[in-house]
Amino acid sequence: MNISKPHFSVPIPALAWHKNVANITLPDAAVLRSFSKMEVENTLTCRDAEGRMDQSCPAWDHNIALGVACAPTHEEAFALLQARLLQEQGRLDEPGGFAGELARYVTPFRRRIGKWLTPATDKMPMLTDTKNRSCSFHVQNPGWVNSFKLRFSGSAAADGAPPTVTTPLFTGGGFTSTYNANRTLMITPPVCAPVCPAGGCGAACCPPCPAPAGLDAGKPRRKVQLSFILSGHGELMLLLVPAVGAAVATASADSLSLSAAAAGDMEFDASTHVFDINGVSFSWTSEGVAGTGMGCSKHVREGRVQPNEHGTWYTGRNFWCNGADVPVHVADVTAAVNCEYADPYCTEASPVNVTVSSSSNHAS
Amino acid sequence: MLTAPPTFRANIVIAAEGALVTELTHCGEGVTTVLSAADGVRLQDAIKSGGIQSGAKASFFSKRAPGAFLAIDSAGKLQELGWQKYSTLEMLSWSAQYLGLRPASASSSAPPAADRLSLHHQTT
Repeated sequence: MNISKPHFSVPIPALAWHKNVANITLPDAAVLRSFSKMEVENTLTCRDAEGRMDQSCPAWDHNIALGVACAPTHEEAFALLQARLLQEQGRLDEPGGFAGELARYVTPFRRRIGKWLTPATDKMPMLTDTKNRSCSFHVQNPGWVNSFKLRFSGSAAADGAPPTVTTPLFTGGGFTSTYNANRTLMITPPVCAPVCPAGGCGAACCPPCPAPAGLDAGKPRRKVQLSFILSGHGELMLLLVPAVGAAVATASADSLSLSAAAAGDMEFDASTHVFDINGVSFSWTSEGVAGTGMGCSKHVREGRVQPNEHGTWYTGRNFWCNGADVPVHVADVTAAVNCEYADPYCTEASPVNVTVSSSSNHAS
Repeated sequence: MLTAPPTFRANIVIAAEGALVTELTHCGEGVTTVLSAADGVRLQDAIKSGGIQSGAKASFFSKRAPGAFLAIDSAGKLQELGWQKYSTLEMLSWSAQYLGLRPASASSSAPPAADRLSLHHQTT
Protein backbone atom coordinates (compact mmCIF):
# COMPACT_ATOMS: atom_id res chain seq x y z
CA MET A 1 0.00 0.00 0.00
CA ASN A 2 1.69 3.17 -1.17
CA ILE A 3 -0.55 6.12 -0.40
CA SER A 4 2.06 8.70 -1.38
CA LYS A 5 1.89 7.96 -5.12
CA PRO A 6 0.89 10.93 -7.32
CA HIS A 7 -2.79 10.88 -8.09
CA PHE A 8 -5.84 13.01 -8.83
CA SER A 9 -7.90 13.02 -5.68
CA VAL A 10 -11.65 13.38 -5.34
CA PRO A 11 -12.32 13.46 -1.60
CA ILE A 12 -15.67 12.85 -0.03
CA PRO A 13 -15.19 15.32 2.80
CA ALA A 14 -16.58 14.76 6.27
CA LEU A 15 -18.79 17.84 5.96
CA ALA A 16 -20.48 16.37 2.90
CA TRP A 17 -21.92 13.51 4.87
CA HIS A 18 -25.43 13.90 6.19
CA LYS A 19 -25.95 10.81 8.26
CA ASN A 20 -24.77 8.18 5.81
CA VAL A 21 -25.30 9.96 2.47
CA ALA A 22 -22.98 12.45 0.76
CA ASN A 23 -23.93 14.34 -2.39
CA ILE A 24 -20.93 15.19 -4.54
CA THR A 25 -20.67 16.78 -7.96
CA LEU A 26 -17.89 14.92 -9.70
CA PRO A 27 -15.31 16.51 -12.02
CA ASP A 28 -15.88 16.41 -15.75
CA ALA A 29 -16.12 12.85 -17.03
CA ALA A 30 -13.44 13.46 -19.67
CA VAL A 31 -11.00 14.40 -16.91
CA LEU A 32 -11.65 11.20 -14.99
CA ARG A 33 -11.48 9.11 -18.16
CA SER A 34 -8.04 10.49 -18.89
CA PHE A 35 -6.77 8.25 -16.08
CA SER A 36 -6.34 4.52 -16.41
CA LYS A 37 -6.83 3.53 -12.81
CA MET A 38 -9.14 4.28 -9.90
CA GLU A 39 -8.73 3.31 -6.25
CA VAL A 40 -10.84 3.98 -3.19
CA GLU A 41 -8.87 5.21 -0.18
CA ASN A 42 -10.52 4.72 3.18
CA THR A 43 -9.20 5.75 6.57
CA LEU A 44 -11.07 4.17 9.44
CA THR A 45 -11.49 5.36 12.98
CA CYS A 46 -14.01 4.80 15.73
CA ARG A 47 -17.15 6.78 16.24
CA ASP A 48 -16.38 8.20 19.67
CA ALA A 49 -14.77 11.62 19.28
CA GLU A 50 -13.06 11.61 22.65
CA GLY A 51 -11.38 8.27 22.61
CA ARG A 52 -8.11 7.80 20.85
CA MET A 53 -7.42 4.34 22.06
CA ASP A 54 -8.25 1.02 20.49
CA GLN A 55 -10.17 0.06 23.61
CA SER A 56 -13.04 2.41 22.74
CA CYS A 57 -13.64 0.85 19.32
CA PRO A 58 -16.40 -1.70 18.72
CA ALA A 59 -15.40 -5.19 19.71
CA TRP A 60 -17.24 -7.04 16.97
CA ASP A 61 -16.62 -7.11 13.25
CA HIS A 62 -19.09 -5.97 10.65
CA ASN A 63 -19.12 -5.13 6.97
CA ILE A 64 -18.73 -1.58 5.72
CA ALA A 65 -19.93 -0.91 2.20
CA LEU A 66 -19.50 2.22 0.09
CA GLY A 67 -22.01 2.62 -2.71
CA VAL A 68 -22.89 5.27 -5.25
CA ALA A 69 -25.70 6.30 -7.57
CA CYS A 70 -25.18 9.04 -10.18
CA ALA A 71 -27.75 10.99 -12.19
CA PRO A 72 -28.10 14.39 -13.90
CA THR A 73 -29.24 16.01 -10.62
CA HIS A 74 -28.64 15.28 -6.95
CA GLU A 75 -32.35 14.77 -6.41
CA GLU A 76 -32.43 12.08 -9.07
CA ALA A 77 -29.24 10.49 -7.78
CA PHE A 78 -30.61 10.33 -4.24
CA ALA A 79 -33.90 8.87 -5.48
CA LEU A 80 -32.01 6.21 -7.43
CA LEU A 81 -29.91 5.40 -4.38
CA GLN A 82 -32.99 5.10 -2.19
CA ALA A 83 -34.70 2.84 -4.70
CA ARG A 84 -31.69 0.52 -4.80
CA LEU A 85 -31.35 0.34 -1.04
CA LEU A 86 -35.07 -0.25 -0.63
CA GLN A 87 -34.78 -3.15 -3.00
CA GLU A 88 -32.07 -4.72 -0.86
CA GLN A 89 -33.59 -3.87 2.51
CA GLY A 90 -33.84 -6.86 4.80
CA ARG A 91 -32.44 -9.20 2.19
CA LEU A 92 -28.81 -8.99 3.15
CA ASP A 93 -27.49 -9.79 6.58
CA GLU A 94 -24.52 -7.43 6.45
CA PRO A 95 -23.77 -4.25 4.47
CA GLY A 96 -22.65 -4.86 0.90
CA GLY A 97 -24.03 -6.80 -1.99
CA PHE A 98 -26.11 -4.09 -3.65
CA ALA A 99 -25.98 -2.60 -7.11
CA GLY A 100 -23.65 0.39 -7.20
CA GLU A 101 -21.27 -0.94 -4.57
CA LEU A 102 -17.81 0.63 -4.92
CA ALA A 103 -15.86 -1.01 -2.12
CA ARG A 104 -16.39 -3.24 0.87
CA TYR A 105 -14.50 -3.73 4.12
CA VAL A 106 -14.73 -5.84 7.24
CA THR A 107 -14.03 -3.89 10.41
CA PRO A 108 -11.35 -4.99 12.85
CA PHE A 109 -11.90 -6.30 16.33
CA ARG A 110 -11.35 -3.18 18.38
CA ARG A 111 -8.53 -1.42 16.51
CA ARG A 112 -8.70 2.05 14.97
CA ILE A 113 -5.77 2.05 12.58
CA GLY A 114 -7.36 0.94 9.32
CA LYS A 115 -6.29 2.50 6.05
CA TRP A 116 -6.84 0.88 2.69
CA LEU A 117 -6.30 1.53 -0.99
CA THR A 118 -8.77 -0.68 -2.79
CA PRO A 119 -8.66 -1.19 -6.57
CA ALA A 120 -11.86 0.06 -8.21
CA THR A 121 -10.96 0.65 -11.86
CA ASP A 122 -13.72 -1.73 -12.87
CA LYS A 123 -16.21 0.60 -11.14
CA MET A 124 -15.16 3.68 -13.12
CA PRO A 125 -18.13 3.50 -15.52
CA MET A 126 -20.42 4.28 -12.59
CA LEU A 127 -18.61 7.62 -12.16
CA THR A 128 -17.71 8.61 -15.71
CA ASP A 129 -21.01 9.01 -17.51
CA THR A 130 -20.98 12.43 -19.14
CA LYS A 131 -24.62 13.13 -18.24
CA ASN A 132 -24.60 11.86 -14.67
CA ARG A 133 -22.24 14.11 -12.73
CA SER A 134 -24.34 14.40 -9.56
CA CYS A 135 -23.61 11.46 -7.32
CA SER A 136 -25.03 10.28 -4.01
CA PHE A 137 -22.55 8.24 -2.03
CA HIS A 138 -23.82 5.95 0.67
CA VAL A 139 -21.95 4.18 3.43
CA GLN A 140 -23.13 1.55 5.83
CA ASN A 141 -20.73 1.57 8.76
CA PRO A 142 -22.08 0.49 12.11
CA GLY A 143 -20.05 2.14 14.87
CA TRP A 144 -17.20 3.42 12.71
CA VAL A 145 -16.15 6.59 10.91
CA ASN A 146 -14.69 6.45 7.41
CA SER A 147 -12.85 9.10 5.40
CA PHE A 148 -13.09 8.26 1.73
CA LYS A 149 -11.18 9.54 -1.29
CA LEU A 150 -11.43 8.47 -4.89
CA ARG A 151 -7.93 8.34 -6.33
CA PHE A 152 -7.35 8.48 -10.08
CA SER A 153 -3.92 7.71 -11.49
CA GLY A 154 -2.12 6.42 -14.57
CA SER A 155 -2.62 7.62 -18.09
CA ALA A 156 -5.42 6.33 -20.31
CA ALA A 157 -3.42 7.40 -23.35
CA ALA A 158 -0.31 5.55 -22.28
CA ASP A 159 -1.66 2.61 -20.28
CA GLY A 160 -4.96 1.93 -22.03
CA ALA A 161 -8.43 3.28 -21.48
CA PRO A 162 -10.45 2.24 -18.44
CA PRO A 163 -13.84 0.55 -18.79
CA THR A 164 -16.61 2.90 -19.79
CA VAL A 165 -19.78 0.81 -19.47
CA THR A 166 -20.76 -1.49 -16.64
CA THR A 167 -23.67 -3.88 -16.57
CA PRO A 168 -24.70 -5.37 -13.23
CA LEU A 169 -25.22 -9.12 -13.23
CA PHE A 170 -26.07 -10.33 -9.74
CA THR A 171 -26.49 -8.94 -6.26
CA GLY A 172 -26.02 -10.71 -2.94
CA GLY A 173 -28.09 -13.21 -1.06
CA GLY A 174 -28.07 -15.74 1.73
CA PHE A 175 -25.89 -18.77 1.14
CA THR A 176 -28.70 -21.28 1.34
CA SER A 177 -29.93 -24.07 -0.88
CA THR A 178 -31.49 -21.46 -3.18
CA TYR A 179 -28.37 -19.37 -3.55
CA ASN A 180 -27.71 -20.55 -7.09
CA ALA A 181 -31.26 -20.00 -8.28
CA ASN A 182 -31.84 -17.30 -10.88
CA ARG A 183 -28.17 -16.71 -11.54
CA THR A 184 -28.26 -17.20 -15.27
CA LEU A 185 -28.57 -14.16 -17.47
CA MET A 186 -28.57 -13.36 -21.14
CA ILE A 187 -26.85 -10.06 -21.72
CA THR A 188 -26.73 -7.94 -24.78
CA PRO A 189 -23.69 -5.82 -24.41
CA PRO A 190 -23.43 -2.47 -26.12
CA VAL A 191 -22.27 -2.83 -29.68
CA CYS A 192 -19.55 -0.30 -29.42
CA ALA A 193 -19.19 2.86 -27.44
CA PRO A 194 -19.53 6.00 -29.54
CA VAL A 195 -16.04 6.90 -28.56
CA CYS A 196 -13.61 7.54 -31.34
CA PRO A 197 -10.13 8.88 -31.60
CA ALA A 198 -9.82 12.64 -31.68
CA GLY A 199 -11.08 13.82 -35.03
CA GLY A 200 -12.76 10.48 -35.53
CA CYS A 201 -16.15 9.64 -36.88
CA GLY A 202 -18.46 10.59 -34.01
CA ALA A 203 -21.45 8.62 -32.84
CA ALA A 204 -21.73 6.78 -36.14
CA CYS A 205 -18.25 5.39 -35.82
CA CYS A 206 -19.26 1.84 -35.20
CA PRO A 207 -19.43 0.32 -37.66
CA PRO A 208 -17.12 0.91 -39.23
CA CYS A 209 -14.63 2.72 -37.11
CA PRO A 210 -11.21 3.31 -38.59
CA ALA A 211 -8.37 2.17 -36.43
CA PRO A 212 -6.63 5.06 -34.71
CA ALA A 213 -3.21 5.88 -36.04
CA GLY A 214 -0.52 3.85 -34.38
CA LEU A 215 -2.87 1.18 -33.08
CA ASP A 216 -1.67 -2.33 -33.55
CA ALA A 217 -4.23 -3.84 -35.89
CA GLY A 218 -3.62 -7.27 -34.45
CA LYS A 219 -4.29 -6.20 -30.90
CA PRO A 220 -7.84 -6.49 -29.62
CA ARG A 221 -9.27 -3.07 -28.96
CA ARG A 222 -12.16 -4.20 -26.88
CA LYS A 223 -11.84 -6.01 -23.64
CA VAL A 224 -14.41 -7.80 -21.51
CA GLN A 225 -13.80 -8.24 -17.81
CA LEU A 226 -15.69 -10.06 -15.13
CA SER A 227 -15.27 -8.47 -11.73
CA PHE A 228 -16.86 -9.20 -8.42
CA ILE A 229 -16.61 -8.57 -4.72
CA LEU A 230 -17.16 -11.69 -2.65
CA SER A 231 -17.13 -11.93 1.11
CA GLY A 232 -18.75 -14.51 3.30
CA HIS A 233 -19.43 -12.44 6.36
CA GLY A 234 -22.55 -11.94 8.45
CA GLU A 235 -24.02 -12.73 11.78
CA LEU A 236 -25.70 -15.95 10.78
CA MET A 237 -23.41 -18.91 10.48
CA LEU A 238 -23.11 -20.31 6.99
CA LEU A 239 -25.00 -17.45 5.47
CA LEU A 240 -23.55 -15.94 2.37
CA VAL A 241 -24.46 -12.36 1.60
CA PRO A 242 -23.25 -12.11 -1.92
CA ALA A 243 -23.29 -8.89 -3.80
CA VAL A 244 -22.68 -9.68 -7.37
CA GLY A 245 -22.64 -6.69 -9.63
CA ALA A 246 -21.45 -7.64 -13.04
CA ALA A 247 -20.81 -5.40 -15.91
CA VAL A 248 -20.40 -5.11 -19.58
CA ALA A 249 -18.40 -2.09 -20.51
CA THR A 250 -17.25 -0.61 -23.73
CA ALA A 251 -14.16 1.38 -23.15
CA SER A 252 -12.76 4.10 -25.29
CA ALA A 253 -10.73 2.89 -28.23
CA ASP A 254 -13.47 0.31 -28.51
CA SER A 255 -12.43 -1.93 -25.69
CA LEU A 256 -15.24 -3.79 -24.02
CA SER A 257 -15.32 -4.66 -20.38
CA LEU A 258 -17.62 -7.01 -18.54
CA SER A 259 -17.47 -6.98 -14.78
CA ALA A 260 -19.43 -8.63 -12.03
CA ALA A 261 -19.42 -8.60 -8.23
CA ALA A 262 -20.48 -10.93 -5.42
CA ALA A 263 -20.45 -11.06 -1.57
CA GLY A 264 -21.53 -13.36 1.27
CA ASP A 265 -21.28 -14.80 4.79
CA MET A 266 -19.09 -17.74 5.43
CA GLU A 267 -16.39 -17.56 8.00
CA PHE A 268 -14.09 -20.52 8.46
CA ASP A 269 -15.78 -22.63 5.81
CA ALA A 270 -14.56 -22.53 2.23
CA SER A 271 -16.68 -22.10 -0.86
CA THR A 272 -16.19 -22.24 -4.60
CA HIS A 273 -17.79 -19.90 -7.10
CA VAL A 274 -17.99 -20.58 -10.80
CA PHE A 275 -18.91 -18.06 -13.45
CA ASP A 276 -19.80 -19.74 -16.70
CA ILE A 277 -19.59 -17.48 -19.71
CA ASN A 278 -20.63 -19.03 -22.99
CA GLY A 279 -19.51 -22.41 -21.73
CA VAL A 280 -16.15 -21.23 -20.43
CA SER A 281 -15.78 -21.49 -16.68
CA PHE A 282 -13.98 -19.07 -14.43
CA SER A 283 -13.78 -20.18 -10.83
CA TRP A 284 -12.58 -18.91 -7.49
CA THR A 285 -12.26 -20.88 -4.30
CA SER A 286 -11.29 -20.17 -0.72
CA GLU A 287 -10.30 -23.79 -0.23
CA GLY A 288 -6.93 -23.90 1.46
CA VAL A 289 -7.36 -20.43 2.97
CA ALA A 290 -10.65 -20.36 4.90
CA GLY A 291 -10.14 -21.96 8.27
CA THR A 292 -6.36 -22.08 8.15
CA GLY A 293 -4.63 -21.11 11.37
CA MET A 294 -2.79 -18.04 10.14
CA GLY A 295 -4.32 -17.34 6.72
CA CYS A 296 -5.18 -13.67 7.35
CA SER A 297 -1.94 -12.81 9.15
CA LYS A 298 -0.13 -13.25 5.82
CA HIS A 299 -1.69 -10.02 4.54
CA VAL A 300 -0.28 -7.78 7.26
CA ARG A 301 2.90 -7.13 5.33
CA GLU A 302 0.81 -5.88 2.38
CA GLY A 303 -0.87 -3.36 4.69
CA ARG A 304 -4.27 -4.89 4.01
CA VAL A 305 -4.92 -6.50 7.39
CA GLN A 306 -4.61 -4.63 10.67
CA PRO A 307 -2.58 -6.77 13.03
CA ASN A 308 -3.10 -7.66 16.69
CA GLU A 309 -6.83 -7.21 16.82
CA HIS A 310 -8.83 -8.23 19.84
CA GLY A 311 -10.10 -11.52 18.40
CA THR A 312 -9.02 -14.26 16.02
CA TRP A 313 -8.07 -11.90 13.23
CA TYR A 314 -5.23 -14.08 11.99
CA THR A 315 -7.33 -17.10 11.06
CA GLY A 316 -7.98 -17.57 7.35
CA ARG A 317 -11.52 -16.73 6.29
CA ASN A 318 -13.77 -17.11 3.29
CA PHE A 319 -12.60 -14.43 0.82
CA TRP A 320 -12.26 -11.84 3.61
CA CYS A 321 -10.27 -10.95 6.71
CA ASN A 322 -11.05 -8.90 9.78
CA GLY A 323 -9.70 -5.37 9.57
CA ALA A 324 -9.25 -5.54 5.81
CA ASP A 325 -10.81 -4.44 2.57
CA VAL A 326 -12.55 -7.17 0.64
CA PRO A 327 -10.60 -8.06 -2.50
CA VAL A 328 -12.04 -7.23 -5.89
CA HIS A 329 -11.67 -10.19 -8.24
CA VAL A 330 -11.17 -9.34 -11.91
CA ALA A 331 -10.75 -11.72 -14.84
CA ASP A 332 -10.29 -11.04 -18.53
CA VAL A 333 -13.09 -12.96 -20.23
CA THR A 334 -12.86 -11.35 -23.66
CA ALA A 335 -12.26 -14.59 -25.48
CA ALA A 336 -15.19 -16.28 -23.75
CA VAL A 337 -17.70 -13.60 -24.62
CA ASN A 338 -17.37 -13.75 -28.36
CA CYS A 339 -14.61 -13.55 -30.87
CA GLU A 340 -16.32 -10.50 -32.31
CA TYR A 341 -15.14 -8.59 -29.31
CA ALA A 342 -11.59 -9.28 -30.21
CA ASP A 343 -12.15 -7.71 -33.61
CA PRO A 344 -9.55 -4.99 -33.82
CA TYR A 345 -11.61 -2.81 -36.14
CA CYS A 346 -14.94 -2.99 -34.40
CA THR A 347 -16.77 -3.88 -37.56
CA GLU A 348 -19.53 -5.95 -36.03
CA ALA A 349 -22.71 -4.07 -35.36
CA SER A 350 -24.79 -6.97 -34.08
CA PRO A 351 -25.06 -7.42 -30.32
CA VAL A 352 -23.31 -10.36 -28.74
CA ASN A 353 -25.21 -12.54 -26.32
CA VAL A 354 -23.38 -13.40 -23.15
CA THR A 355 -24.61 -15.99 -20.70
CA VAL A 356 -23.27 -15.75 -17.18
CA SER A 357 -24.16 -18.04 -14.35
CA SER A 358 -22.79 -18.12 -10.85
CA SER A 359 -22.80 -21.14 -8.61
CA SER A 360 -21.45 -21.61 -5.14
CA ASN A 361 -20.67 -24.76 -3.27
CA HIS A 362 -20.13 -25.37 0.37
CA ALA A 363 -16.67 -26.74 -0.22
CA SER A 364 -15.65 -28.05 3.19
CA MET B 1 -20.03 -20.94 55.69
CA LEU B 2 -17.88 -22.57 53.11
CA THR B 3 -19.40 -23.42 49.78
CA ALA B 4 -18.07 -25.89 47.34
CA PRO B 5 -16.25 -24.34 44.43
CA PRO B 6 -18.11 -24.50 41.16
CA THR B 7 -17.27 -27.44 38.96
CA PHE B 8 -16.27 -26.91 35.35
CA ARG B 9 -15.41 -29.29 32.63
CA ALA B 10 -12.03 -28.34 31.23
CA ASN B 11 -10.04 -29.48 28.26
CA ILE B 12 -6.29 -29.30 28.03
CA VAL B 13 -4.95 -29.53 24.52
CA ILE B 14 -1.25 -30.16 24.06
CA ALA B 15 0.39 -28.82 20.93
CA ALA B 16 2.37 -31.21 18.80
CA GLU B 17 6.12 -31.16 19.06
CA GLY B 18 7.44 -28.21 17.06
CA ALA B 19 3.98 -26.68 16.55
CA LEU B 20 3.04 -23.21 17.72
CA VAL B 21 0.49 -22.84 20.47
CA THR B 22 -2.65 -21.66 18.72
CA GLU B 23 -5.84 -20.37 20.20
CA LEU B 24 -8.86 -22.64 20.23
CA THR B 25 -12.13 -20.84 20.41
CA HIS B 26 -14.15 -23.99 20.84
CA CYS B 27 -13.17 -27.54 21.62
CA GLY B 28 -16.04 -29.60 22.92
CA GLU B 29 -17.75 -28.70 26.16
CA GLY B 30 -16.26 -26.45 28.82
CA VAL B 31 -13.14 -24.39 29.14
CA THR B 32 -10.25 -25.10 26.81
CA THR B 33 -6.66 -24.16 27.25
CA VAL B 34 -3.71 -25.00 25.06
CA LEU B 35 -0.25 -25.94 26.29
CA SER B 36 2.99 -26.10 24.41
CA ALA B 37 4.49 -29.51 23.74
CA ALA B 38 7.11 -28.98 26.44
CA ASP B 39 4.57 -27.92 29.06
CA GLY B 40 2.39 -30.82 28.01
CA VAL B 41 5.19 -33.28 28.65
CA ARG B 42 5.75 -31.79 32.11
CA LEU B 43 2.05 -32.01 32.90
CA GLN B 44 1.83 -35.58 31.74
CA ASP B 45 4.89 -36.50 33.76
CA ALA B 46 3.40 -34.84 36.81
CA ILE B 47 0.18 -36.78 36.41
CA LYS B 48 2.00 -40.04 35.92
CA SER B 49 4.34 -39.50 38.84
CA GLY B 50 1.42 -38.63 41.04
CA GLY B 51 -0.20 -41.91 40.26
CA ILE B 52 -3.41 -40.22 39.21
CA GLN B 53 -5.56 -42.57 37.22
CA SER B 54 -8.91 -40.91 36.86
CA GLY B 55 -8.15 -37.23 36.61
CA ALA B 56 -6.45 -34.28 38.16
CA LYS B 57 -7.43 -31.04 39.80
CA ALA B 58 -6.51 -27.97 37.83
CA SER B 59 -6.93 -24.30 38.63
CA PHE B 60 -7.89 -22.01 35.80
CA PHE B 61 -7.67 -18.33 36.39
CA SER B 62 -7.87 -15.16 34.38
CA LYS B 63 -5.53 -12.34 35.08
CA ARG B 64 -6.89 -8.94 34.20
CA ALA B 65 -4.42 -6.86 32.26
CA PRO B 66 -4.55 -3.97 29.86
CA GLY B 67 -5.21 -5.54 26.52
CA ALA B 68 -3.01 -3.17 24.60
CA PHE B 69 0.69 -2.68 24.21
CA LEU B 70 2.34 0.61 23.41
CA ALA B 71 5.44 1.50 21.48
CA ILE B 72 7.06 4.72 20.34
CA ASP B 73 7.54 4.89 16.60
CA SER B 74 10.41 6.51 14.74
CA ALA B 75 8.49 9.82 14.67
CA GLY B 76 8.23 9.84 18.44
CA LYS B 77 4.52 9.09 18.45
CA LEU B 78 2.87 6.61 20.72
CA GLN B 79 1.44 3.71 18.82
CA GLU B 80 -0.84 1.08 20.16
CA LEU B 81 0.20 -2.38 19.12
CA GLY B 82 -3.06 -4.09 19.86
CA TRP B 83 -3.65 -7.29 21.75
CA GLN B 84 -1.23 -10.09 22.32
CA LYS B 85 -2.56 -13.48 21.35
CA TYR B 86 0.39 -15.73 21.93
CA SER B 87 3.32 -15.61 24.24
CA THR B 88 5.64 -14.94 21.34
CA LEU B 89 7.03 -11.74 19.94
CA GLU B 90 5.22 -12.21 16.67
CA MET B 91 2.82 -9.38 17.46
CA LEU B 92 5.76 -7.00 17.40
CA SER B 93 6.84 -8.13 13.96
CA TRP B 94 3.29 -7.82 12.65
CA SER B 95 3.08 -4.30 14.05
CA ALA B 96 6.44 -3.41 12.58
CA GLN B 97 5.37 -4.69 9.19
CA TYR B 98 2.14 -2.74 9.32
CA LEU B 99 3.54 0.53 10.65
CA GLY B 100 6.43 0.32 8.23
CA LEU B 101 4.01 0.55 5.34
CA ARG B 102 2.49 3.78 6.55
CA PRO B 103 4.12 7.10 5.78
CA ALA B 104 4.79 9.47 8.65
CA SER B 105 1.76 11.57 7.79
CA ALA B 106 -0.49 8.61 8.30
CA SER B 107 0.48 8.38 11.96
CA SER B 108 -0.36 12.00 12.70
CA SER B 109 -3.61 10.97 14.30
CA ALA B 110 -1.70 9.16 16.98
CA PRO B 111 -1.31 11.14 20.18
CA PRO B 112 2.10 12.63 20.83
CA ALA B 113 4.09 10.61 23.30
CA ALA B 114 2.87 11.11 26.89
CA ASP B 115 -0.14 13.17 25.82
CA ARG B 116 -3.20 11.89 27.70
CA LEU B 117 -1.08 9.22 29.28
CA SER B 118 -1.50 8.80 33.01
CA LEU B 119 0.92 6.64 34.88
CA HIS B 120 -0.75 4.91 37.78
CA HIS B 121 2.14 2.81 38.95
CA GLN B 122 5.10 5.13 39.13
CA THR B 123 8.14 4.19 41.09
CA THR B 124 10.77 6.46 42.44
